[in-house]
Amino acid sequence: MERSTQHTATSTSFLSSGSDAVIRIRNLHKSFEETTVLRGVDLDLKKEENLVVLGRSGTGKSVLIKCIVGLITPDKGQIEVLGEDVLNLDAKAMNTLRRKVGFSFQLSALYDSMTIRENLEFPLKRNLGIYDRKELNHRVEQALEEVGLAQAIDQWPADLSGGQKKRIGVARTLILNPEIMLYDEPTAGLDPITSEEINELILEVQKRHGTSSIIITHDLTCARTIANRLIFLHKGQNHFDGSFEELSNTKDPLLRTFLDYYNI
Amino acid sequence: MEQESNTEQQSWIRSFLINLAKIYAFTSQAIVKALVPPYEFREILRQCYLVGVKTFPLVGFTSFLVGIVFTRQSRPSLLEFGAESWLPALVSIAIVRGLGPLVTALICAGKVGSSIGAELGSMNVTEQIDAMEVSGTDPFRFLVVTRVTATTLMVPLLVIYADALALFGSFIATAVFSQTSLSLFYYQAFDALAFVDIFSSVFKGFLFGLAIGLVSCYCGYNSSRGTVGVGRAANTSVVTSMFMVFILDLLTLQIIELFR
Repeated sequence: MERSTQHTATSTSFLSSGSDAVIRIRNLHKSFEETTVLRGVDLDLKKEENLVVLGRSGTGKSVLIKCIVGLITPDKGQIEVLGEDVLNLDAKAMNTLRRKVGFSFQLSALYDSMTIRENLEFPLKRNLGIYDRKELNHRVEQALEEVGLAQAIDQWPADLSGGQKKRIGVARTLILNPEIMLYDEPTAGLDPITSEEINELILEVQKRHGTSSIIITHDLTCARTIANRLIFLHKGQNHFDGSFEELSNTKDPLLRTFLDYYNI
Repeated sequence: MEQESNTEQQSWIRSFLINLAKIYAFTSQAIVKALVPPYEFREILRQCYLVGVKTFPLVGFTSFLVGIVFTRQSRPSLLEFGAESWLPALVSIAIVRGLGPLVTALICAGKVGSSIGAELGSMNVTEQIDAMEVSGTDPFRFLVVTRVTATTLMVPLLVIYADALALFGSFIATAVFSQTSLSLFYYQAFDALAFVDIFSSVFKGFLFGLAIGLVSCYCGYNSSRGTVGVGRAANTSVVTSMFMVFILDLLTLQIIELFR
């Protein structure tokens, strides 16, 4: 009881501080049994910004964005998304907030038992209550055209390549016109050309929809193409925050090891 | 050495109790969400089709064969005592009270249980359950409650169907050796049955369906990450469901006996 009161008091002061950031994270901690993944991460995502979160595998990048959408509950810290205190939202308010936050999963997470059309109709039916066939067709076709895969409408996820699945995954989140996009390893497991296409798609989505995005990756080529700003996580803590230029000129030995691998 | 063994025991007991608490929480959540709106009618109907209609041919054929085999094996013993005319009564009691529900449940545990375990396990591994949650849909209600409802509703229907086909199989096996009509066979078969027998058959189907649905969904929904986890989820779903079916069969037998 004492802990809960303390938490609410802290989060109120956190919310009332005022900022132009659409996502604000302070002192985020998360452990899984004996393993500590996040040890006090801070993050600000400004409106219409592409923020790339870099780091080696296991540094808690994916855990960080899963905390933002409430898939994982942090042990400690504060998360504010579009002015809402995520950790104190009830289920209904959380679902309303999730409509404004698109999440593109690392493995695309397309529903295997549904065709591409049904995959895209699913959020429309469930979130917006749209069941009118004409309206559904129009919105689905529009979303697929946007990602350049209009021809895949009646195919099954299993029939698509990795890159196509990523595009459909993005289309499924875009269909609800989110204000924020979260991309979890968008280029992981893709060849360089397909990776480049996905990077262009992310930039195009940001331009066309005016979305603010967090992109989780360890791919520096992807980071160079799309980032307005970068954060480097190391052992669950912020290690670097700045532009790509600042990162590439760094003398920090840890970052240099990472950059040297890409000859930057 | 002794201390090591004690620590191992303590850790085993701790993990057992944690699992028990998880199963309790999962079961109560499934039951509460099944009773409280909103209901996922479309998905429940789709699951009923998958569980019921798709299992119809397999259950029907197997039950038909069970009826034939049981009759062929029982007939010589009855002949020895000159009680061949009791065959329809013996077969109907055995099928309706025990064999029908048991065979149906075992087939459903194998076919439906493994399919649910593998499907949910695979959805878990490929983050489809997370995707459903972030898109504003309660995955537990959409995936678990619908499947548990479907198995609970469809297995009793399959049991009735299995009983009828097993009796028909028994008639065919009887008709080969002795001249008997279908109506006379069914008259003798149903004459031996009481209401409580038919009720117990359907009631067992209801319990078996609930158990198969809950066990398979629990195994799939909580599968560990990775493809190995999917295989384990499918396997555990089948084995645990079958084990639960036998335990429930024994328990319901004791309860039904009180009303006989």
